[in-house]
Amino acid sequence: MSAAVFKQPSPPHIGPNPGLLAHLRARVQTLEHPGARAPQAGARTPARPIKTVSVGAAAIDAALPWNGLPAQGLHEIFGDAAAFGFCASLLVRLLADTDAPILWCRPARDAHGELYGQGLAAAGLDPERLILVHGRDDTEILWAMEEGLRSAALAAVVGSPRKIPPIAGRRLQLAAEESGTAGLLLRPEDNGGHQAATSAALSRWRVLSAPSQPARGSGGRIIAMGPPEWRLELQRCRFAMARGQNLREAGKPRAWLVEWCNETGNFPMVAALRDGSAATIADADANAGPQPDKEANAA
Amino acid sequence: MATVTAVHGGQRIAAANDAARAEGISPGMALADARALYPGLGVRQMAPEDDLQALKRLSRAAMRYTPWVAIDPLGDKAGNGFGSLGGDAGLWLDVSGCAHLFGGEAALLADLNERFARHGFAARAAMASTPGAAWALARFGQAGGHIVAPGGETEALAALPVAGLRITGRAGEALQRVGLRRIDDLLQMPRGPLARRFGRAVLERLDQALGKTDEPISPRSIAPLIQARRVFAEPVGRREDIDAATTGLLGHIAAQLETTGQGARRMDLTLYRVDNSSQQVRIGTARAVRDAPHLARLFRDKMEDFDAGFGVEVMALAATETAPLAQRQGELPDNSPSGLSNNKTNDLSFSDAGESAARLIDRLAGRLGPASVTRLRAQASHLPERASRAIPVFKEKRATGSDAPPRPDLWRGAPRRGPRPIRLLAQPMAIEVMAPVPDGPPVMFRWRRRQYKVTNAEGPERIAPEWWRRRNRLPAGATTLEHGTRDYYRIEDESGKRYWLYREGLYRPDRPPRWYLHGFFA
Repeated sequence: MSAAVFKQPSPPHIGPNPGLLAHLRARVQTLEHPGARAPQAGARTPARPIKTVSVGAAAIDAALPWNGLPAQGLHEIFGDAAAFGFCASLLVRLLADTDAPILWCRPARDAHGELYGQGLAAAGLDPERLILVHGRDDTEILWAMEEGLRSAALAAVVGSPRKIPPIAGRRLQLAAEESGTAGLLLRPEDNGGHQAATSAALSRWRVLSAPSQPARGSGGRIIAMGPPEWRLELQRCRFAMARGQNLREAGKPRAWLVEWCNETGNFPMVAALRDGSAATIADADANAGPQPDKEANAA
Repeated sequence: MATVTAVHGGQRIAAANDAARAEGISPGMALADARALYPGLGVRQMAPEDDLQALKRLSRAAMRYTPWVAIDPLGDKAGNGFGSLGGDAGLWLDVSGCAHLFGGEAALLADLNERFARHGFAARAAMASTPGAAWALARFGQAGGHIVAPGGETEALAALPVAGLRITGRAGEALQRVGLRRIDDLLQMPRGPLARRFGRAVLERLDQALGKTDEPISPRSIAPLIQARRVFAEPVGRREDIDAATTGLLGHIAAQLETTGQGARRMDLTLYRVDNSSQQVRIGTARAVRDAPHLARLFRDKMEDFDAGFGVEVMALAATETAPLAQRQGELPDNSPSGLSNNKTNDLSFSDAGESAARLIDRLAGRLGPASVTRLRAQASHLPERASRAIPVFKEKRATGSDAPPRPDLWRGAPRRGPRPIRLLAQPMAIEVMAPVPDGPPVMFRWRRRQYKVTNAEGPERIAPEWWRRRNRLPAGATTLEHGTRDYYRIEDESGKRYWLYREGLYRPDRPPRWYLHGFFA
């Protein structure tokens, strides 16, 4: 690939006892969130360790304060058609160790078509585990999402409302935290997803398609289409400050160029973009040194 | 007066009243012939559905005599194309052990005849120890109610025509042709040859009528059996009161369901207001449920905009559709009426994830409408738009999320199948395309007034129409090559977005190819 790939500095060492740290972190989170001290939470163990799923590559996981994406909480995904793929790859990992179904709340009419079972199956997602709900408007979609997040019977809830009033977003986040269910707000820009300045979600991603590299045979002849490539940008992330990971200030990459592997849902190739602009790919190239070694993460 | 129906392209008499019969008009006759016999004949179109409804109402009325009432199942098997509803319809009443309540069998029969006559029905009734004998006597015996003592069937039936044995179709005609007209004639015949010549059905009917073999009658099920009702001393109007009463009624229903091992799939709550108006609220569930708090919540969601008006006097709740539901350990505490007051609708208390997912589906479908909650099912079709179908959860036979997918292989498709997009347009959209080679992939396409430059393409994958399906049948003289064959390409544009396009039909110089956009890859 032309966008070069360089080795990430290893994630900051977490100290002698990662388990204890995770426990403490969970407690801090419980304290910080008034919603988490609902009666049920009190009845359970005082602080659950946060269950996380990999984003798809260790290099990206390391950039998150949880070293992965928390499976209990709300995440926003913006972008174009690639956002669907990113969402599907997250769902595959969220479903990995549970039998619970997914609730996917969609607008009743979508000019860009309906979810296609065979396509989801190709992305590794079992279409039989989807419960599809069509809402006539945002109110219905948000209501269905909240019901789903509260029920604790689901592995994840995906929803595509056009707009999210701040209070509704907050309610979703609290519901997701209480029940320990992942909520994904999938808001493709071709469907009128508007970005609000603030949101209650734990993280916000923007996923855009990027020109892919065709597979070449001998003599540089193009023999097939290469795997899809996405430009993955972590736009917002709560608790980054708590871990001294103010992304902007730490100069850590917030954007990556990834290659999506349909079979595993992982990103076998990851290239960091320095400040999120495509122009700096060359810059990353220079930093990578003379021998950029490709980093294969089978996370 | 007669009713007519269209049979084999002509209007034929389906049923005629006594006056018409007296003029020589009989069922099966062409309407033109009947008009020739009696020009002033009043004619109505036959309404089998209404007839059946009327018969059902009658069957309900007949339940005053016995709980065991069935509609004559002869129905369409009558063979004349009119069904048996054209005046020959009947009801079975099993009055075993009921007659003494009406002062004996004769009194019961007389009462029945009188009641039907009073309501304007011309009815004939007969009583015998076997359904078959009673059927024959009611239709061909003397009028006014014939009662056959046990054992007297042979004697009573002997003089009746063979049609009284409910032998229809070819066997009936064959018997007519050889001159076996009365039941007595059949009784004289050796059984072996009879069965060989006219089929076993003849002997079976004979035995049934004479009581040599049993004939089970399946009674009409009386729905709803599981119901509860609450009458208020004073009309209530507050939502809280109505909700509390609903919960109480659900407790009774749950207890009834528990004893019968059933769960509710559909429930109707009828609220009668003081001003004699009423409103019905219906809920449905994805799988059988008898958990009162869950059902109460479904009703609460559904009744958000309920207007009590001047107050509600009576509430009646019925489980109109039930399905067997095994006893579950986890549900026992929730079923006790005492557990109803503390509204523990929090699903965290249910251990079984599938169970609480079903509850969630019920709530979603209750508010958004049953058609809005669907699941994807794979279908054995290689047309992309038919291969995956969204099926409403309530329509589905299988319970949710509990068992393995039935055909996981269908999702993957054939091993050499091309890639499939993650989103598919239900209706492919026509696009304008620029292709340098007529049967190659495009280099540019226009969709929704925007131009997309193709940087990368893969294909084609050829998908032929399913010509064996009636909807896809080709026009005469056409071949699949020009109709419906699609060549699919996976296309990448400058920004890296991927589309699924296809060209319909094979390229022909005299016809510009038509291109469509069908899906979006991630």
